[in-house]
Amino acid sequence: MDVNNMLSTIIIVAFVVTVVLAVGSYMLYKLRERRRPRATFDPANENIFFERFFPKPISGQSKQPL
Amino acid sequence: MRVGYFIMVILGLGVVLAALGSMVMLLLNIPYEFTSAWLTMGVTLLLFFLIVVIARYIILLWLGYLHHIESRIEEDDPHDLFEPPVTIIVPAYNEGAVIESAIRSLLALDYPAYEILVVDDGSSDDTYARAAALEGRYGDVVLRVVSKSNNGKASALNTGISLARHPFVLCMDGDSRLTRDTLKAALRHFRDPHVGAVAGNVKVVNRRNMWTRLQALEYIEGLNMARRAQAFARTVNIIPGPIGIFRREILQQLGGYETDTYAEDADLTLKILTAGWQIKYEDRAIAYTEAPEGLLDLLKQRYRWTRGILQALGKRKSFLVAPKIGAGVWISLNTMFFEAVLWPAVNVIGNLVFAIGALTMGIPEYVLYWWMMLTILDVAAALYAVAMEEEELALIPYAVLYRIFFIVTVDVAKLFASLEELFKVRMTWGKLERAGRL
Repeated sequence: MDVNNMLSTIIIVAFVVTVVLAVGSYMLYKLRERRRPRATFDPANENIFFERFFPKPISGQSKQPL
Repeated sequence: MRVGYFIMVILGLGVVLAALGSMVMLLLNIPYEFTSAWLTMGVTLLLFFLIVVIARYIILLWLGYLHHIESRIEEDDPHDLFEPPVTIIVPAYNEGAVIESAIRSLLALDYPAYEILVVDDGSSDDTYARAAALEGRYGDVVLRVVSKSNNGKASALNTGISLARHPFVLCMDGDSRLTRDTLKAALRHFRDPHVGAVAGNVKVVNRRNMWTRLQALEYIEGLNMARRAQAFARTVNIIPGPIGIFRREILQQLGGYETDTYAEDADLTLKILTAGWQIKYEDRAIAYTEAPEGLLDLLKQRYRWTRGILQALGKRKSFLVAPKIGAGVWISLNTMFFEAVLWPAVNVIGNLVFAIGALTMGIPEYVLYWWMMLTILDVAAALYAVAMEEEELALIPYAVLYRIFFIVTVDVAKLFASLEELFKVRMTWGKLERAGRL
């Protein structure tokens, strides 16, 4: 096997192995997510827009920079 | 730009074009024998892949370079000074360990007058108490802290927008850090009344392992290069979560952030774009952020991004189909769809087809040439993008790993995410794990 063929083989093997590992990692990620306690996304329970809050009044005195 | 970096930009551009030319020559010299329909289909797919690669690189590099020149000319214009008051909104959820240092860094920004508004999103730790202890006035800078029930980042930002006292707001992540001249660099774009928002430049701060260094390169070469090109047409299609600057009245008119997608930043950006506003990009408005340090967290992030982008696009299908408010926005939205769905599929399948085709035709050396040229292309593009941002040159060699492992891994996750979005597979909600490096 000459150098070109050898390198081509390495590249193809690396590519195929990466695809297989990527698929495997994705499966692992999904498995991990499934095992975790989770909050199901439900837009109906979300407050979508602005909420009104009343901040404390700002004191007028100037503080020293930190 | 320093002379050395300028030379590297030109060199990178030259090598990219040379590599693209070589790929065309290579493909034209393959001894095709169309013995089967599969082979014909494979070669056609490969030609499509090649055309897309060439078009994508040429358009991105050229528009990006034009934006760079335009940006530097504007920067040198003494009449370009525009420093309106701005409110920085810092959503914070369980950031007790870092909230004080985050506030200190914001107080040190180089800008005449601004307000920092910390919105505690119902933290279960001492975030609110620590931030509230610092509340007050520091010269021309005012620091306010409010607390609300926990409802997510989008809700916290909406609260901040409704409480902001200045006409411009900067929305960021609680765990991001801004550079000192970020506000000066970004706000000047609002001199143009057509500009509704400015996207900042996000950089990875925790360059500690292979994954985070690859992401650092990806942010520079992949994300920012595309954003720079879009900015030339004023149609940036994602204002990143760690740094986005907006006209407050636009956010109020449009209803702020919505929480019905996984990518609230992309959703808001599309809302602004499709309302007819221009969006620019400022590479000197920098936010440092933490990237996922492990592979599974990276996949989680990309999964959410892809599904979120598809959801945001799905809400605006009509703008995707026809150019309702101008060709620029239409192209930008279609590019977004292409990059999220089609490009990953084409990338994985195209490479696979080339490898199988070259092997079955008994010309395996073509696989080697093809991959070498793709890698040279990536290294040259990395050189160009890194030099353009005057970034760490040590990131450039990672372009080799970027081609062989990183893109494939991320693209496979994107493919799955697209399929799951297509089949409406149920999604879960969760905060990305951070290592707390900032």
